[in-house]
Amino acid sequence: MEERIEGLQEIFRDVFDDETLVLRADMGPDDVEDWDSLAQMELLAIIAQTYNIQIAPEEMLGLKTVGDIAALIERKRG
Amino acid sequence: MFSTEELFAQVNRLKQSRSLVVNNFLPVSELNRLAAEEASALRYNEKAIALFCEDNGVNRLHFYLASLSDASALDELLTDAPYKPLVVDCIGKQEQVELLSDALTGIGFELYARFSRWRSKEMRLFSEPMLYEGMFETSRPEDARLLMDLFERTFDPFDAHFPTRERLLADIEDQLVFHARDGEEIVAAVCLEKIGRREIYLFLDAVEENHRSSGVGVLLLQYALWHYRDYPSYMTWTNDTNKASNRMHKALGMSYDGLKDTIMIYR
Repeated sequence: MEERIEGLQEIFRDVFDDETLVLRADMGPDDVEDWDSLAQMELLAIIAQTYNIQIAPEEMLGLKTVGDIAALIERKRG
Repeated sequence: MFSTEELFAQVNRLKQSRSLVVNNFLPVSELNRLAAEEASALRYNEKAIALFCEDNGVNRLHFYLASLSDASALDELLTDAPYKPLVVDCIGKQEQVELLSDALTGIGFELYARFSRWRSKEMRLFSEPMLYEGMFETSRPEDARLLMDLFERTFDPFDAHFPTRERLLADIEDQLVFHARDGEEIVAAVCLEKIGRREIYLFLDAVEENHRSSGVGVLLLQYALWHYRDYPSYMTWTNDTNKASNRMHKALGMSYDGLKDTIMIYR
């Protein structure tokens, strides 16, 4: 899980244009400025492409934190 | 209740002034409807006319002034207001809205919210919103109750003009309302309206609080607009402080068109 979160860090830093961003599993939209619906779409599009996975809209509803996203990648990648 | 003949007579009297201030003018059909409502009331004096009305649970004020410098005349009428608080939409170009809201501040109104109108001639839609058809639906009449519940939970009635159940059902019948479900619960909804034959108005866009920032709002709006993708013009009002909403509408290709709505409240 920690490895997945580390992997996500670059994506988050890129999307939010913040090289100082350090991810934690419990971080969510309230913890990162400009993490809104549009940013979420952008994050998930890049994550889907980077990890070669498909994220269904129903699955998006359950992604509230960095940890949720990392867990989803784990489930889909094995 | 009030007499529209009396209202028009008083407005014609004030029109003698070259500086007449008319804010958020109502069409005659709407004035006739309000005139018949028990909760509506008309008050006037030499320099001001105040029309009090109830709009789906919110007390609203429409007014006419002989001039901006006669705001104190409106103040006299407010001491006899049938109910409070009162909400006013100051609508117009930025400069005129600022002058008007300054005049209202001087008689005890407070700023409540600022909205801007955005428009687009062409929406930037994703290519595949119809792929989400399993999760998103065109609303049906039996969805009206859950939709109204969602609006009541997510909207501020002072700055959003809630649809009445009748209006919502009419929009549903015209296939202008769309929603997203999470199980049995409706967690997001979009209401569109047609303005004539050439414009789609993004009237309401609601997302349940614990589903915000999930992307469902963006996707649902895309899904809804896909059904009306051939319209020549699109319009919406956005709260100036809602960064997420403004970013989303900008990404769709919309931009501020110069019209402002400053919402003032009198307690």
